[in-house]
Amino acid sequence: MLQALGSLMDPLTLGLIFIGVILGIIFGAIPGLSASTGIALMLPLTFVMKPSVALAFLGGLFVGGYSGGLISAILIGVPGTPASVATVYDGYPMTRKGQATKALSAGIICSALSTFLSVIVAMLFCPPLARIAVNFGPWEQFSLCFTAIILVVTISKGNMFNGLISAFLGMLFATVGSSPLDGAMRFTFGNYSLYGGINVLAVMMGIFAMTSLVGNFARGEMECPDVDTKGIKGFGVSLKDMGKYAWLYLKSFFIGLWIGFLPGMGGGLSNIVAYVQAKSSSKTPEEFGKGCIEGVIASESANNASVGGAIIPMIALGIPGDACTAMLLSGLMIQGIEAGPLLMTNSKALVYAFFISLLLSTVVTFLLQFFGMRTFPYILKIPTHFLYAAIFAICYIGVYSNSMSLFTCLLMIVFCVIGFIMSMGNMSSAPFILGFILGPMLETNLRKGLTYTTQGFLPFITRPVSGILLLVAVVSLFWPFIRDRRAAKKAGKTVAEVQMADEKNNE
Amino acid sequence: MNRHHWISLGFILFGIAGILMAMNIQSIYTVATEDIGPKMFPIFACCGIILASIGKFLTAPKGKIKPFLKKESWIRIGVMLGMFILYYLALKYLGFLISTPVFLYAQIRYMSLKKVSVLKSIIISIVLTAVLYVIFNNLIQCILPTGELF
Repeated sequence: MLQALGSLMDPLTLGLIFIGVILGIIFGAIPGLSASTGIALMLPLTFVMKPSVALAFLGGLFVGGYSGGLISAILIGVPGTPASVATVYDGYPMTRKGQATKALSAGIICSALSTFLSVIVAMLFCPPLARIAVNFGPWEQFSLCFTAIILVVTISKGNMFNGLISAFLGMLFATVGSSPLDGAMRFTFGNYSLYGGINVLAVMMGIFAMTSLVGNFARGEMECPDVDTKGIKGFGVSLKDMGKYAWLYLKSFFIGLWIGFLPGMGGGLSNIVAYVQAKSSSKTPEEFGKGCIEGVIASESANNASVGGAIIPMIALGIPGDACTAMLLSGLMIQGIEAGPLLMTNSKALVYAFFISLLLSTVVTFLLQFFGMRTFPYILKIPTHFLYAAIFAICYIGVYSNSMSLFTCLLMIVFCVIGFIMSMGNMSSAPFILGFILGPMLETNLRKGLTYTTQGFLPFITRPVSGILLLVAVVSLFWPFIRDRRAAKKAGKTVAEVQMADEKNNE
Repeated sequence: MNRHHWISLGFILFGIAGILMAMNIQSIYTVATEDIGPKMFPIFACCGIILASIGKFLTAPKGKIKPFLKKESWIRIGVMLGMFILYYLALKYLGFLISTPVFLYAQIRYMSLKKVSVLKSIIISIVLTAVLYVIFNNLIQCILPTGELF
């Protein structure tokens, strides 16, 4: 721990954490951008950094990005990130009532406290979980990756088939290049640039950053509405005020922590679940949606608790919980570090340096947001045409600097187009990214598992941990169909009609 | 038939093409154990795409649905993709220092719907190029594309 702390205590690293947090807040605050986009764009800058410094910088972006979403949610009624959707419901009405400072202060305090506590929980839980996971053979690792992908698919928006197509596409694109174990060339079409596989940064930048930015521009969703700054003065809340909501805070925190821990269900879901829970257990549910501070506290406590929750499977098992942690995992891969149970044993100092940097980032985020509240309207006034143009150029140069080949820039454009086709079909990019990152692990462990014994696929089912994980995957996969069948029976419709209605609602 | 049906059909065809290509993958050595070889995983992924696409096709909403984008939005996407391809070609043949300010200028003018003045656009394009050059060339020490023609 001391070694980890020492590695962070130089002015350059601290400065990079500070810059990372500022950039994260900006990316989180501006609607259409997100922490994931910020991390993807900044990955090329980490090539020349030491692993601990790179992770500290990306950690700053991660924490700042998660917390920054509340700014636009409260001030202009547009969530900066999906994790702040429920913050809009009461945060924006509070701003319209002239209580912007109260909403912002409550949100900032809950965000900071939740991130801090959830990272502490992650620090406590990662080592024992990694100790268990280190005993996993290829069978358990295969089942773990498979279950993670299926869990992400089952919570995909609307029709579950969309999530499945997206995940399988990611897995298929991950097979390009030389195959694991025997090095056979697959789908390379004789192109040397594809022998090492598709560049992970080209995929991230293309499918995530470029698709969403071009989409925002095409739909005319670039400019933010004007901010009413009249209500921003003072600190808005006192500790006594916040103390009244301690129980609500704790409930929302644990909801966020648990949902963040489950693969695919990050802050985007936890804030809504916590909000619904807060409303249903409130003595004044009729006040929700009209500018009730409890709504802001529930949403902001839950979404930031997901930060620590999502870090646990990423560090201890090498399984990214959401798009943001998938980007962080790519950052580790670029540094040549393999995430997974062995990371806790082989690079203990690095892991603890990452945890400490997250805690430092939380403190920096809190101070910057609390004392810089009056600058928030200026963040939302950054002309997006300049920002977007710069981001596109960074995408090109970032991808190029990672591979030193312009061919990867072409691949990035191809993935931007694929991203559009997927959006047209209501397919989320999260299962794709997870499929792409976990695909090679899935295949390697499947093939290893088959070659280690002469029993074929049987050990995947008969080994207890592997069997239970596969059972969870199968139940998760078929549960929506069972649920739809029940709903159809109740409504006197067919399953297909219920699913079509879901898809239509999603339109 | 609406866009969901067409997209499903497209992915079914893509999956079939993937299986046909995967059948031709040659393994460098034959393993005597129960290894499934390099073909099986891509075939499994393609089968997954085909089955999920069939599911999507069958459960997609019938009849007319809300269009994904308006005509003008499609034109914007087309122009942006055109600019991306041109920037790629410009980087390849002209290099970073010539192509980037031009790309940035075109992007700013197009995305701001010409609301930003020409002079301001030029200055910002040049400044942004210089900042990117310093970050990538001097700090990261990455040799930026120099161009095949110059």
